[in-house]
Amino acid sequence: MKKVIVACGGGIATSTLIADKVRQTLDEAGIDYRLTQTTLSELVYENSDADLIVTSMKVESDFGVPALSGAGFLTGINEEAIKEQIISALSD
Amino acid sequence: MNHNKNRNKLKFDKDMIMLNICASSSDELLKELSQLFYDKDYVHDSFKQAIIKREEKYPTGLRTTSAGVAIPHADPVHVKQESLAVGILKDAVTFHEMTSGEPLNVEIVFMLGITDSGQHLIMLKALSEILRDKEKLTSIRNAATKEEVFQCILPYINELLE
Repeated sequence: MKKVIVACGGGIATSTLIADKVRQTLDEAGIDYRLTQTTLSELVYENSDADLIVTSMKVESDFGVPALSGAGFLTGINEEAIKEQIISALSD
Repeated sequence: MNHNKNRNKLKFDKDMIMLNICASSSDELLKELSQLFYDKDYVHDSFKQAIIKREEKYPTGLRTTSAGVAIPHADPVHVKQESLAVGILKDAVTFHEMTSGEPLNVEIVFMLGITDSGQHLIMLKALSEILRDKEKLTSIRNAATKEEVFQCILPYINELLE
């Protein structure tokens, strides 16, 4: 089971939109996962056992796990590349 | 204060569109565009400052396949009525990209008056469809009249309107 965190500034709207796309991507890839949504400020406490962080905002800290930008899920830019990065980050 | 049950229904019309905006900075643009919300009494006094502060902390610039876009918004506590404003700049101003924080030339601004997070998501989904449509964005960027901009956006938000 892979743990994925999706985070945005407010922690709700943008991350929900991105989370929907991440779920879709992982379902299609047949990856077993648990996904949680959070805000940037809470990310500091929640990342400890995460396998991947997908954000819609600038993350300055290094959480020691792969962190990807999900902004392309809003605009369609590089959407396929982001999906591939998500899958490869969670494939052993 | 507006407590009617329609506050969650989106308000958007030609009065909420500004063309050929001359602004020297993103702050100036945000001040000018947010004035449209005050004119309609859609927001509380704190809205303008809240938008500017949020943009500093969590920038909303987005690269698209067409013009650079920003989607500034504020916490729902500053908003009375679900609403949208669209500003098209004469010359691009610098915002910052949402995730990288890098400077980004922005020509189209969708400013959101959001009353709650559920509404925010619905609005973002509609906007996301516009942001993915290169031709539509280019048409909005090059529109000569507010009516043209309104007609470009209407199909995406029609169901959300009051």
